[in-house]
Amino acid sequence: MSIPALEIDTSGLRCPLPVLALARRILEIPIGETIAMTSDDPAAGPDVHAWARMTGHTFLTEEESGNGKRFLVRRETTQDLTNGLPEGF
Amino acid sequence: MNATPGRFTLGGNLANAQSLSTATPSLGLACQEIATHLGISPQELYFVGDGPLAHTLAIAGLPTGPRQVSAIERAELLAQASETLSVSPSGHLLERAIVASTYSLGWVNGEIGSIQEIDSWAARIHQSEGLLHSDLSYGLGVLPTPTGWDIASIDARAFGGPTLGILAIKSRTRWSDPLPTLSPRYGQVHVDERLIVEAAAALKTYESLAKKHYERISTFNRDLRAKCAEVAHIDVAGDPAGIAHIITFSVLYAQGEELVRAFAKEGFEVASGSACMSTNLEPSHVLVATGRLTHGNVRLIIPYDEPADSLARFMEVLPRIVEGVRQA
Repeated sequence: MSIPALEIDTSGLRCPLPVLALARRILEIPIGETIAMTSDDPAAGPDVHAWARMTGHTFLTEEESGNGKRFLVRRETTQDLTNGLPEGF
Repeated sequence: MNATPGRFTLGGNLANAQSLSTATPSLGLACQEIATHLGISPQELYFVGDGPLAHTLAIAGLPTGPRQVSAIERAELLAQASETLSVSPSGHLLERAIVASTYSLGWVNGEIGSIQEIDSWAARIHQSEGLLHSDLSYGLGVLPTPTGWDIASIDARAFGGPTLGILAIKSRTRWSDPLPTLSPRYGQVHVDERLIVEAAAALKTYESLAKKHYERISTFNRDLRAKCAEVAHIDVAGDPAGIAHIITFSVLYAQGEELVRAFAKEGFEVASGSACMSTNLEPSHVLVATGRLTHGNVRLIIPYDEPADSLARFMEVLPRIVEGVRQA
């Protein structure tokens, strides 16, 4: 498994903020690269899965990490699905 | 009928329809009506305080052994599972080898509306000498009731009835009340008989409304699914072939609680399976088991007599509410 191009920690954030952060930050990496996100939100696991299915990115792995989980996702599209959403996440 | 000896006296908080039917004519009629809906005799009908208790007792009273519970059943049932059975994204039990065990498979899912093929699973479970419990709450009065189950439990609130739990136990089923008989007081009937009469009346009303309006609500269900696809980034749960009046969808990047509040402002009472709306901050296990987005969740349980203009208005305000909450 390649080293993620970007590592983000959303600990303390609750739904839908972790996925929103992931959606924003994935735009910073090139297509084909991976992003790792750590979250302690119990809803993050199912949400990252569903978000990847809905947006066309690839969910790679999920592992235990500290108080929560660390998810690895590969960017697949150029589409910016967060257009029009508020800044600041 | 080969009822287990003592089933009428053990844990007397169960009100058996047979003993009740002689009490008052209206009660006897009510029991008969409910029994007819379930394709059983009133002697096979029991009443308890509420739906969750009925679900709990239903499988707890079966002979000991492994309990296989589908992943989208009620928490009371999952709490008793020795194995949780996976379901498809549409909420159907995945193909699997059936063993001689106790299965708990709900008929119509109360959160996502998907319909399980109870009778065909029942046939396979019986072939393997297993037992089937089914939660029949959400299809009763709307669709033809499956008959293959060995024991069923129903929350009367699902069809607009009072807080009352109904247990339907086929006379062939070995079941004994799992609650201990702790004190003499326990021998009394705790269910108010009027609740049973009320439940039967509610079921009758619900059935006639569902019959009259099923097509209309079904069209709304279809249109709402199409609208959700149009608005973009809304994940609709369940199955397009599910029951008409239950529809659940999740709005990407929106918060469930804010959606519920926004709909309430427009006069629509909706529920949510999002973590932010649950007491333990866990998202709905049904959404998780079917791989759905858990945030921004909205659950509609539509009364069959919901006026057409109110449904039209819901469709109209949806895009605006979604946009508003996403930008909030």
